[in-house]
Order: sequence, then C-alpha cells, then structure tokens
Amino acid sequence: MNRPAWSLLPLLAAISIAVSHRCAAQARKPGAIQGDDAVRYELVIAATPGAPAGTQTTVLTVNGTSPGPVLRFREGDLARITVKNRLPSEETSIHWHGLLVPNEMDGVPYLTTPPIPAGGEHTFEFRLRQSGTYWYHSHTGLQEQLGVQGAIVIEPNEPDVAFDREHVVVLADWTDDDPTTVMRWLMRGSEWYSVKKGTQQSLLGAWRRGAVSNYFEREGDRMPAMDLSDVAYDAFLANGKRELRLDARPGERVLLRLVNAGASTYFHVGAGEGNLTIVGSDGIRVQPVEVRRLLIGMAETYDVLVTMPADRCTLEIRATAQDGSGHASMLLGEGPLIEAVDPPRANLYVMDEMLAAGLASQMPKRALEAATAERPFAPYGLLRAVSDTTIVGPDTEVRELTMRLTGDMRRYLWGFDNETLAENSTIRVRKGEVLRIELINDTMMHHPLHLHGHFFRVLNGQGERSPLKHTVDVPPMGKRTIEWIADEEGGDWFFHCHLLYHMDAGMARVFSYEQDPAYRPTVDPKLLEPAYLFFDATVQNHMTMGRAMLMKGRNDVFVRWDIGLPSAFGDDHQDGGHEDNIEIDLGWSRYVDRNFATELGWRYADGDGATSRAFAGVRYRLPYLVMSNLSVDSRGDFRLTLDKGLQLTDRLGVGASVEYDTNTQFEWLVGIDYTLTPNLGFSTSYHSDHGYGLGMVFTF
Amino acid sequence: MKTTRSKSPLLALVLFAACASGPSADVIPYTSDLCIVTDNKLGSMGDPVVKVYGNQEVKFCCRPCVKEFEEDQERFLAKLKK
Repeated sequence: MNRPAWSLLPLLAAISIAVSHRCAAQARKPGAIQGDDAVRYELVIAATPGAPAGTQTTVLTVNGTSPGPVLRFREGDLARITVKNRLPSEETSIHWHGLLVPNEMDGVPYLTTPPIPAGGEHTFEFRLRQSGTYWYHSHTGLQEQLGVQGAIVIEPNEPDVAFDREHVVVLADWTDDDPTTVMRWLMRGSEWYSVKKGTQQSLLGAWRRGAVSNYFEREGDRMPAMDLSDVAYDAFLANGKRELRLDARPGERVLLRLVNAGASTYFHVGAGEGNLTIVGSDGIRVQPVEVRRLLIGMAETYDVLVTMPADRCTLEIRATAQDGSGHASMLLGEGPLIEAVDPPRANLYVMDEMLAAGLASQMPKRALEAATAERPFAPYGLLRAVSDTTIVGPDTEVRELTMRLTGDMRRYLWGFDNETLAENSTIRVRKGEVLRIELINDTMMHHPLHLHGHFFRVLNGQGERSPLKHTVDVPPMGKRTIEWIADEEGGDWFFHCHLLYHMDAGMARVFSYEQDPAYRPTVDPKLLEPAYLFFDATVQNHMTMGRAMLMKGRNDVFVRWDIGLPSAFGDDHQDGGHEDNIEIDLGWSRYVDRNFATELGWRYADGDGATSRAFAGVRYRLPYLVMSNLSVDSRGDFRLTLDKGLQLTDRLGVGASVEYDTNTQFEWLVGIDYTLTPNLGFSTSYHSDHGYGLGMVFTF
Repeated sequence: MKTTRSKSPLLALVLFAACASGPSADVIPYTSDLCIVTDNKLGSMGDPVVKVYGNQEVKFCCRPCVKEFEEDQERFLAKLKK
C-alpha cells in the first residue's frame, strides 16, 4: 500500500508554530503546580453536596466544583496530571477529549488506561502537540452526567486571533434523577420525559398544530412519535450556573471558548444583539465566519468572538436546549439587559425538520441555508480551515467504509449497522492508511460521533480547506463523510456517539491498530449491554394486570399477569362482573427488530376451566402501531392478541385490547389512564371477564 | 401516476393474494433497499412509500421525501442510472 504523503500532525503544527516558551506560559496557569519542566495539575474527584437545579443532591466534582478547574497549557508543554479518586466506592477515569496523546494516556478505562479505583490515583503525562479549546471528562459509566468534566485551554505559541478578553464556558445539562434511573427509563421506552418537557405527542397536540392527518399517517406508517432529545433535564448550566455573569466592557471583543459538556443536549447559542463570529471548532482555528445562532453538539467546542455594544449594557448569550425545554444564560458586562431570544420550537408532528437536517448534510446549498436559519443545523457548511488539510495525494490508497447509525427510542438499542458494541466491537486499521468513512444516519435523532486520538476532515464541500474535527454531528436522515489518517503509533481508539446514553446502549466501536484477527480489545464491561429491571402494573378494584421485566441487550426475561380480584363493589359472575381467574406468564423474549420479537414461556392458569401450559409466539407491530401477539401452546391452542393505545393529551391516554384464544375464547378490555408522576397514574377500565374497575397504575 | 403503499409483510401477503395479476409488467422495479432521496435504509423511517413515475417504480423512506423528489425528479432519477 502507498503511504500517504501528508499526515494531520504536520498540519496541526502548521496551524501554530511549535516552539514552547515555558516561563511565560507557567505564569498564566492558575492551579498549575510549578516544578520541573512539566506543567502539573492534581485533580481530585469526589462526591460533593450541591444543588445545580435548586434541590439538594450529590454532584461528582473535580477539585470541589463542577465543572472542574480549567487546565491551561501552552502548546509544546509537557502535561503531568494526577487524578485522585476520592469517591466512596466507584472507580473513575478521565479522558482528555480532543487531545492527541499516546494511547495509554487516552483515559478510556479498560480499553486504554486502567480504571482508577476508589481511593486510588493515576498520573498522566503527555506532550501537548496542539493548541485550542478542549475538555476532559470521566469515561466511566454515566459519571459525565453527574459532573466529572472541565475545560482545557492550550495557548498557541503565536497569537492566532485578536480579542480583548477571554472566557471559558462549559455548557452542561443536569438531572436530579440518578443517571442509572434515567437510563432505565429510556431502556423501557417510558414517555415520562416527553411528558415532563412538554414534547409528548398527542391527538390534542396534533390538532393544535393542524397536523391530525400527519399524526395518523405517521401511525399508519408504523413510525413512532419523534423527539429531539431523550431526557427532560432539571437545569441547563453554564459553568455550573443557570445564569453566569462574565466581565466585559463596552466595545470589547470577547473570545468565548464554548464547550458542550452536556450528556445529551444540543444547544442553540445566540446573542441578544449582533452575531457570533466562529474562529475555532474543536480546538482548531477556522476562517472567521459570522452566524446569527450556532448549533453546538455534545462534545464539540467552538471559539466564538462576540463584540460588546458600544453603550454600557448586559449582553445575554443564551444556550437554548435544541428541544426548547430550557436554557442557560451567559450575561456579559453590566447595565441594561439586552436579552437573547430562544429559537422557535420545532414542530415534531411533521418530519420536515429532520428531513431538512438530513438534506442539509448532503447538499452544500442546503447546508448554507441551514446554517443561517432561525433554527440552524451544524454550521459545517460554513467552516473553512485556515490552511490546506488535504491528506490524499494522487497515489494515495483510500480505504472507504460506510457505517450506518441505527437504533430507535422504543427499544433504546443503539449501534452501527444494527449491531451494538457488545455484538461487534472492532474495526481494524493499519498504521498509515487513510480512511474515508461515510456515516449515514438511519435514525430520527442527531448523533455527535467522536473519534479518540485523531482529527478527521469533514468533507463539507470546502475541498482542500475541509475543516478538521474530533466530533461530528450526523443529523437525522443525514450523511457525513469524514477522512482521516491512522497516524498514531498503535493501540485501540474509541469511536462512539457522545450522547452518553446512546454510547451506553451500544453505539460505539473500537478502531484497533492490532492486526491479529484473534485480538479483541478490552472494553469497559459497563458498556456491554448492562441489564435493567423494570415493572409496571395496574391495580384496580376488579383486577390487576402488569409485567416485570429484566432487559439485557436484545433479550428480556419477563413475568406478566392478568388476575381477577374479588370485587370491592360486590359484583359477581351472574351480573356480568367478575371471574376470579388467574393467568401468569413467565418467559423469555428476543427482540429481532423494531417491528418483530419472539417469545417462549410457561403460562400458569387457574379458573374458568383454564389449564397451565407452555407457549411460543411472535409479537409483530402492525400499521397504526397496533401490537399483535400470536402464540401457540403445548395443548395445541392458538391465541391472537391485538393492543392499541392512543394518546389524547400529554397525560391522558386510551387503550383497547382484544384477545381470541381457541381455549378460552374472546376477551377484551378498554381503558383510560392518566399519568400523574413518573411512577403513578390513575386508571379505569372495562374488562370482558372482570367487569368495570378503577384504580392506579404503578411504574418502577 | 400510480401510487401504492407498503404497509407490512402481512398486508403485502393479503394484497398479493387478492391481486393475482400483480403490478404492471412494464414497470421497471426499484431494486435498491435505499431511499432514492436520502439514501436511508428503506424501513428505517417507518414503512417505505412506493410510487411509479412513468414506468419507473421508486421507493422512499418517508412521505416528505416524495415532495423532495418531485421537485427535482431528474436529479434523483439519475441516481438509478449509476
């Protein structure tokens, strides 16, 4: 194979001159420890009481705060950072996001670097080969959501942008729920978060938007309701605050180093007056370009210049969650407030925004329109590198790959090419080869994909000036092509969706320089299809129905029941009321795809001539999202069940179920439920065997 | 222009049984499993939409893609010739 003539390292070096001026740099690093020729930091990770959203809770902090301290270096510095784990019982880790470091310094636990046990510590040491705005965060479990994050600023040896004042702002999302609970809610397909943030789709909502026909068309097409984000957050934060006050004087040019450290929130960032001038993306300088508003994906960084108005004022820079569910404010200067406004909320009853985002990623003209819209998409169509980033010469062999981003909200099983990390972990690369990867998003969500240890060119129609990035947003129904050279010494490099819960659910791969086909990288076991237990049931005066389920990857072990109860109101069989029969299924189910699953189990039955038996069946989703279940049992009887739910308002839903069994004949149910809290709801129903009833729905 | 709607294999089975004659013999079938507009896998955005333009069958991942296609048919149909 021909070796490429260019690599990214010289390119990065060319962006700023690689000569270190250590003494001057040391003087500008608060928190850095002076000593030998290394710039040293000590980071202590601990559980600390805090109230990011106003309610007292526990935050995982770095040196007592979240975000942790800004780590400041100068290009060429030797960094020596000791991370101490003072968590009571959990291991932790720190990944240096966007930094070009030796593989063993990358900080991905198990894969590249040993996890740091509770009470333990680990010292990282690496030479900084770049300049710009980067960040660090835990790569262990869901700790990033809990606050283990902070910014890194590496100053170039030659000033590369003029400004009067600089601020580093780490954007984050905060939930008072334990992130493990969040993950469990997502895995079970709960719609609570949509209810909480007002994006739950309903017939009433469709009517208000004039989209009733779209609503039924979508259901007819077996397309679940869409949303722009997975989690309802309790607060959006800028440097740990809902409102962050920052110094600035009239007329000053302020450089904002923005880091999106949100676990699952894209932000639209806009100013109360004037434009933002993008001068850097993912740490690398780009040709200045003005935008009215900027969409920043998780794990991306942008350097933007803001010019303060000439008159004394407070200029608001607002970071609004893409789904419109809240915002964080940066307030620059002092004086009368120039308030920023949120972008209009998306109409999720139609697919227009998703398709527009997808087409913008494929057509340069659309990309330019999309970058300047009221609700802009990623500004990649506007980004131009400051120098030639070409890595492919006339004789360079290029290895082309296509990776499809797959998954859906109902099952919450995310991956590439319909496989999770547990199912297919490794893509082998040879040192020196150039990879051109087409990323096609077959889902209805944005995915910010991050490659560790390398920069890639985003082929955005800018030719030799294609920008370099370490994280790229792939919009719903969209496509991005990235190109990079495998120019590290070796090792295993993680590539994953930086929506934390998608990564946890399997959307990740390892690019491994190891050529032995028998080699398998060691991946954090917490990422290999963790198991989740959940339960939901209705208990009414005439019956109880429900299920408990242990979900792991594509497999479920379940118990479900349908039990008639003695009537509290004195109904009996004669007046068409109760039959106190019992049916309990214990089984195993295998998810095949979004429309199809199989199941196998044992049915305990008592009452009304029913007998216990084994069963095997399939579940299949029909048009209008009618769920069917067809099974045969060990006594030769068949059963067909059809279930349909319809959401009338955010919280009020109706449902119907009809079942025909060659043994027990027809049975049917109609009901209404109203969601009160994530765990509780009212329910009333009429069941053909059990009669009328009223009670509660419990969800855990 | 002829329009059909692909709902599900079950429904397709019923339709197949009901329509012994099947689609017109002179229609050129769409052989790709990707949407002609977005290149998304058919079925990834719900059931695909199937339409016939002239004698060419075309499949879309979703309804809004039909409108996109019809605004620039030549461009998208050129993809079929590649």
